[in-house]
Amino acid sequence: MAIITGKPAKPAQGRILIMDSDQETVEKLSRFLRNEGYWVKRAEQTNRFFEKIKNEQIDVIILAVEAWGVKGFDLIPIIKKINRFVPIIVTSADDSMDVAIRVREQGVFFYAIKPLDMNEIRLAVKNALNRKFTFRDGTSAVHRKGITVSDYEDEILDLTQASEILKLSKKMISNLAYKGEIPASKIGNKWLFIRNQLLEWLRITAAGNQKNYGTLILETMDEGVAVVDRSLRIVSCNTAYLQSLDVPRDRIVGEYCYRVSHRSEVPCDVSTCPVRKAFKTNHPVKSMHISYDDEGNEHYCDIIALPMKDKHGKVNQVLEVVRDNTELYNLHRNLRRIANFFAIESKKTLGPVVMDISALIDRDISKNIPIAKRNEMLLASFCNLKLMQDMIRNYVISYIGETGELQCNKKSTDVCKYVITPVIKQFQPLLRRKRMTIEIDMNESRSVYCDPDLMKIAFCNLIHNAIKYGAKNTTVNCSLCFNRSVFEITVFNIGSGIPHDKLADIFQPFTRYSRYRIRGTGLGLHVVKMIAEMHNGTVEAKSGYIIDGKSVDYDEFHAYKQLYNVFEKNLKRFAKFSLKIANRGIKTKEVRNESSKEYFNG
Amino acid sequence: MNPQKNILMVDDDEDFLVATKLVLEKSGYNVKTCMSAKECIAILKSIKPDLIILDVMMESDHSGFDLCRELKKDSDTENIPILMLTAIDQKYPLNFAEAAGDEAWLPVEDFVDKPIEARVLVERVHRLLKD
Repeated sequence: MAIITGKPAKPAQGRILIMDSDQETVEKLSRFLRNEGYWVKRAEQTNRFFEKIKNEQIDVIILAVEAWGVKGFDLIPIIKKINRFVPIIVTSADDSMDVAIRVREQGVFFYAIKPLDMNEIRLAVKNALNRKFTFRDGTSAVHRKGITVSDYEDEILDLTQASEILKLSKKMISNLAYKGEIPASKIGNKWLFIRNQLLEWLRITAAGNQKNYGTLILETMDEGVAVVDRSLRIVSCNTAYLQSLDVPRDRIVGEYCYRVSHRSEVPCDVSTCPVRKAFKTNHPVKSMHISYDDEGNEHYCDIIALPMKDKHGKVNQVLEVVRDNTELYNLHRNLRRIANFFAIESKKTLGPVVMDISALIDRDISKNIPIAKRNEMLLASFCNLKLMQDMIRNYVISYIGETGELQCNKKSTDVCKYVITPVIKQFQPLLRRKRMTIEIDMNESRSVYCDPDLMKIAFCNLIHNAIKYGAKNTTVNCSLCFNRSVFEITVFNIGSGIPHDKLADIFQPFTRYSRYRIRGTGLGLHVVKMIAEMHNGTVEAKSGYIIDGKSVDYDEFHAYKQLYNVFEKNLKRFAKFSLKIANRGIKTKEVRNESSKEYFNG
Repeated sequence: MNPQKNILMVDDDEDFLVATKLVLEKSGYNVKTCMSAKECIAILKSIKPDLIILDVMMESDHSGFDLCRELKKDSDTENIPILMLTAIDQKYPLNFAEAAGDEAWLPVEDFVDKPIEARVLVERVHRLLKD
């Protein structure tokens, strides 16, 4: 990160942060703006950029759409989340309509096409700064008594100003701030306060002390509640309402409700607006609304409008209750998605089983099927049922794991006897069907401190994966390595490999090599990872190509592509998983001293 | 029954293809199978089957839905009856029973829900081929 901190000749007129990966533009812009009398900072990494917005007082941001491979407009919602007041000027070398529309949609202050016209930039920065210090009522901060441009943020107050607002002595405030009862930050030896936080504190404290039960009850409610008058302006609201909209109180009270909740400049139609309907009918109205936040996320809200009658029975105000059901709705939607996904996957897996078995039990059809074929059909059915069994088990294990109820009862275990051999026996029919072999390589046999049942599941998932995605007539290599503190299982297979783009999140739930052709729920490897973590271990995946009998992973292959005189498409691929778990180093008699190999033929 | 009738089956599940092919062959049909919409279109250029059995869920870019609409638009293939297979539950908001036959949305002659028994499939095929 480079910060240009040359002292300007005259007092700084504003702080500008530039984010652009084009060094030439940055140099030119910063030189120009410094000559104009601004403090200019530049960020060269995205995280540094956000740090600066968060921690420093920035008045204007100049952001390039093409910055370090990130689309600049994707950053805008995040910037707004950190500081919603800072004006953003976007620059772009791409003058296409598409970019222009996307940038404008994000609500930026100005959009400039490169090469930059410096006069245009000067004007944009000047106007952005003016807007920043202009309040909603049109008066400028500059004209307000006691506030100067150099104050940057009208929201940050010192001890004197806080004492004026809270009507408390400075000493008292310092004491309260020290105890953490008042929201404040200590910068150097000075206490600083944010105006909105202070007002909020004052209001809540006041609410706690007052005798107005109505306000008090509203404050205790989780739902956002606002009182709206006939002109659709918000008269009052509780803290939950403010939080749901993420807007400070002084921006809401007195504002039109449609501008606050829908960011619209016109009132909603009476047929869709519960508040207007309640005014019209004098009856309570309930409806469901979908609103969007700054980042474009959908919010599903139940809105209840309750007319408030005065003593003459006339409705002058409506109480609007907003219940955000987004989480509930999303939970419901996710549950439905998972249930559907699981239902479809299991029905598809059952498809060939039902077809085969129903054909075998139907005399008309089966009488024409030769014995060898019948056996094949039974074998295929068994393999698919095994797949289903594993799918259901993984589903249950991952569910129990998510809820934190999965038990891990570690004990000294002879892994060969209780994990490896039984699992491989289970897979004999699958191996036979694909004419595959498993080769086990181990340096010695030692007991491992683990949960045998969970290890069996993890190993079973790795082997099942290797068989499912392995090519016919190949060998699955499996090696066990017992070190003093680590026990490692490696499973290697030749077949479809893991696509390069899937490698990074292959252990995420519902991630599969390919959604098609090979059935599964994408939970197997997730379960392996879960089990590895329960044993203070890790699991890694590698994939790549087989070249001259050697395995070359994707990164290595792409780095030395020229050296390998081969067509990428013609190459066989491999997948390799290593599961490492922490072993307590239990000392038991070594069964084999020399490396030995066992073969399990399908 | 005419033993010479040809069926083209498109499904991305190899096990299901193998099982169904055997069942239909033992019931007296010639069955050709393929695993993607692309392959299906290529095969249709050389042979003209009497029936196409199509799975709904295939590669994301070219689902069974798209393929059947495409086939019904093409004058070479529009007269070939299509039997659609689906693993989506019938009680799902998508109502296949109502949608089947709709020119714009699912222009197929018949559809069946997976998993399906061999006997039921053979009967449906007989009916569509008017054997």
